[in-house]
Amino acid sequence: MNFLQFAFNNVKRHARKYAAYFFSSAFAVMIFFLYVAFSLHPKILPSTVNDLVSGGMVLGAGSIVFFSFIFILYSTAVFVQARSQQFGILTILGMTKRQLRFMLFLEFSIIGVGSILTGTVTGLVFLKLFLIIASLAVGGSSMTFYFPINALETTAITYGILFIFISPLSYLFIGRQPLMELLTVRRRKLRFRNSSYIFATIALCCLIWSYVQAFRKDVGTFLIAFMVIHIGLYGLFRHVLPIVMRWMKKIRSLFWRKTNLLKLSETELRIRENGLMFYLLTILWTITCLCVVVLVSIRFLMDVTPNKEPFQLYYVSNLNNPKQDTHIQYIEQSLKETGVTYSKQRIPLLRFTTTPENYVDYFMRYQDYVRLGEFYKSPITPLHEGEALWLSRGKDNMAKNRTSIQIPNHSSSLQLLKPPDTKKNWMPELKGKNGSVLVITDSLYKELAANTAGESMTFFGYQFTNSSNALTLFALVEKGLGQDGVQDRYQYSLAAYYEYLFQQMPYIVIFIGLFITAVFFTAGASFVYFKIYSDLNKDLVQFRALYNIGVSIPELYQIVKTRVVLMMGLPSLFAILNSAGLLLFIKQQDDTMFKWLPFIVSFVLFILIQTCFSLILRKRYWAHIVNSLK
Amino acid sequence: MLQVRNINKVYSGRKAFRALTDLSLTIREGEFVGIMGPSGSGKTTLLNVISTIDMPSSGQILINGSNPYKLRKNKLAAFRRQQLGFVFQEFHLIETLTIGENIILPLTLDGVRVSEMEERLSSIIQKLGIKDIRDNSIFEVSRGQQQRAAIARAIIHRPSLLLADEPTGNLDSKASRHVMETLQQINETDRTTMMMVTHDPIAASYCHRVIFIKDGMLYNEIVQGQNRSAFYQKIINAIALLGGDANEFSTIRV
Repeated sequence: MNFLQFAFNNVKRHARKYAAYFFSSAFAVMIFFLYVAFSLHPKILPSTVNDLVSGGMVLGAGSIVFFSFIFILYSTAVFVQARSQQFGILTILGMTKRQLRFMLFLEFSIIGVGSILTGTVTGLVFLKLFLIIASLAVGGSSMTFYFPINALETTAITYGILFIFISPLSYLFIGRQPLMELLTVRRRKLRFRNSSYIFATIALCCLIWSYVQAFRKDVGTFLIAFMVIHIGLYGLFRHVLPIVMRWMKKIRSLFWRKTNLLKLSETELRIRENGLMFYLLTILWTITCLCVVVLVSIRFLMDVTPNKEPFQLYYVSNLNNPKQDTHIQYIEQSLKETGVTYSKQRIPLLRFTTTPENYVDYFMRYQDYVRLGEFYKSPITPLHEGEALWLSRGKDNMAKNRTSIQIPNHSSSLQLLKPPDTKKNWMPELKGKNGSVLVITDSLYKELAANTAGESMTFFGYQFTNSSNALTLFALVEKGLGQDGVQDRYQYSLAAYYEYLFQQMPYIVIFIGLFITAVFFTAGASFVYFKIYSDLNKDLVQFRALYNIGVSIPELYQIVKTRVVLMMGLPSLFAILNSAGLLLFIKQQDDTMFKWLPFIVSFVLFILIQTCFSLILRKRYWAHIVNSLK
Repeated sequence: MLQVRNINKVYSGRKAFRALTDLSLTIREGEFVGIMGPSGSGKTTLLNVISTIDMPSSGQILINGSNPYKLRKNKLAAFRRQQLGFVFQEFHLIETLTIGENIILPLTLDGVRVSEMEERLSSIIQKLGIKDIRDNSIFEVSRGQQQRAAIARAIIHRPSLLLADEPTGNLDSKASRHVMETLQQINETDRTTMMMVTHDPIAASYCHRVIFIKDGMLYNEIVQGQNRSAFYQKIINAIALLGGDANEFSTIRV
């Protein structure tokens, strides 16, 4: 048996010991692989040109790598700790430090290669599944399966490097311990780290002060609170809660009652030992909770956004456009071919650059406006001399504030009126700076038309009454009329197409968000899972002892329940508090951004998911204990 | 007090193994009985069967005239913690609790009043000489003290039968003597019935009666006369006759 065989046998014959570590690594690999494979999907890639989406993608990948690194590092530490007795025995048998390091390196390489292989293979299976779900979520455009060679490479390289770095790090975890401690690790004393009243008071003050800031409107202090709350949270888990538990234990009538004796002392110990973990989980789940809120809010926003574009397809032709008739014919021919039914509006327009803002404005006659009113079956606003009514506000955000405009070569200025129904544009926003469409009186229009300063053009608008084949139509029109949609002599817009794309974008954002959220959730839950399972063998002995001295099965279940509820519930509770505070503050700053309903829905969702996780965890853990009792 | 009638225990598995064969024994009220035998003779199986942790394949066990195997599972737990007391080789103290809390655990589970628990705790730790370590964690006390705490836990609810599985197995000779004296004292003052499985002839010499088991069957039984050292010699002889492994002989001689 040479050294390589020794290391290999070590892994192979202790498969059960290595399983937890192996699966957690493989899980991390799989998540990353799925994410990369998805974001490099040929159908997704083009839509990531959008800054927001691509930024989100990179952020997502970064956070997944970061958390899986932390996760793998953590499980390595736990794993190495659990095996330190073996290292002690090997050292006594005369294994040099170098050989020990080499053995660890070999073992981690074996596990690393194994988990990368397992992770990517299961990832491929899940990719197929995800793509089916994704195409359902995104709708329409089908997301076909592809073989993600790039993603395979990226995953293999990233995690290959990660596992190469892990083995020297793992050596650090055991490197400093004296041999004696390695050997006697089983009887390790429980460390009772003291909590201090001073720190507890400081932490409590920090925490309360930070939460109070959520009700104030001062951005500066809120940012400080954002930092301070970390001190508060850590102090809470490290000092405040242990002190509270100690007080509770002093109340004999509470502490010396039924299983409280076991529950309380165990809870105290867990909090004392895992203060840092509780803090990390709180932060992790706060982010997760906020992710859920954002996702749900986007979903709600999408539902309330009305169809903003009045015409799905329009064509504006300048006076000197020779191809006007051919184009119109082509469009209508295409409409007929694809079976899209529509109603058509033909409106003459005048284009001016108006002062003081130098916006490009399009003017239309009052009589056409009346016709549109009949078409939309909506009331119209009467118009007087010296007034103009806007039917589309314009692309510029500042345009909503303008009250009067000045047309060049025209003496009097025009007073701007808002239409009664501002939710929906009656006319699209056209080419040029701002590009709003205004209604003027017929007489003024005639006067301006005579004036050669303006350009006159004709607007053809098509409103679909049946748009099932719209996508095919858009493709046809785009092919026939040219790519960019705006030419010198004519402009056309596939408004609905862009709207459709725009609506699709949040779906992609939602999908990525959903993915990241799922990863965060599972990361947190696996953290807890790993923490609980790392003590499983010790716990089994304890439960056995309790069972033998006559603690009944339901009472044992109570203890397990308390344990899992504590580990999952405590960080979740503070995660919800944190996000509620943050959202409350944001809501005070900008009321339009968030509504209460999505908040409540997301919190309920968050609690539901966490409950599910803790139920599963409890079931699995309990199954282990019951098995060992039989 | 305890009646065991024709107990059989077969471990089914890939290769069925018969651990106990037609074993019967009776323990009277207030008696202190030792069970000895070579490794694999079925001592611990017998103890587990009596302590209701394990089910016998056939046969009957009566504790105080009642058959615990007719009880339902949760009633069984209650029965175990009210009628039986356990002392283990590994102590089985709960790490998260202090010595005092460990001792009162059976009482809290039964919902006894706090003042009564307090009273019983202080009297028992006084009696067993572990008063000073009441509020220590179990890592801070010696093994002998841990085992005495475990004994205190086993008798605080005044069980009718105390079962001990190699109580001295993990202790040095001084601590074992202390533990055995404690057990003897409890047996004498409280008239608690005790059954102890052991390898250690010295520990066994504290019993009123020692039963030898070999290959799951009753082999021999010797009763203490007037003199403990003579009893010890008898036990040694019996072990030699039993022909256990060489390591069955205790290295400690009086």
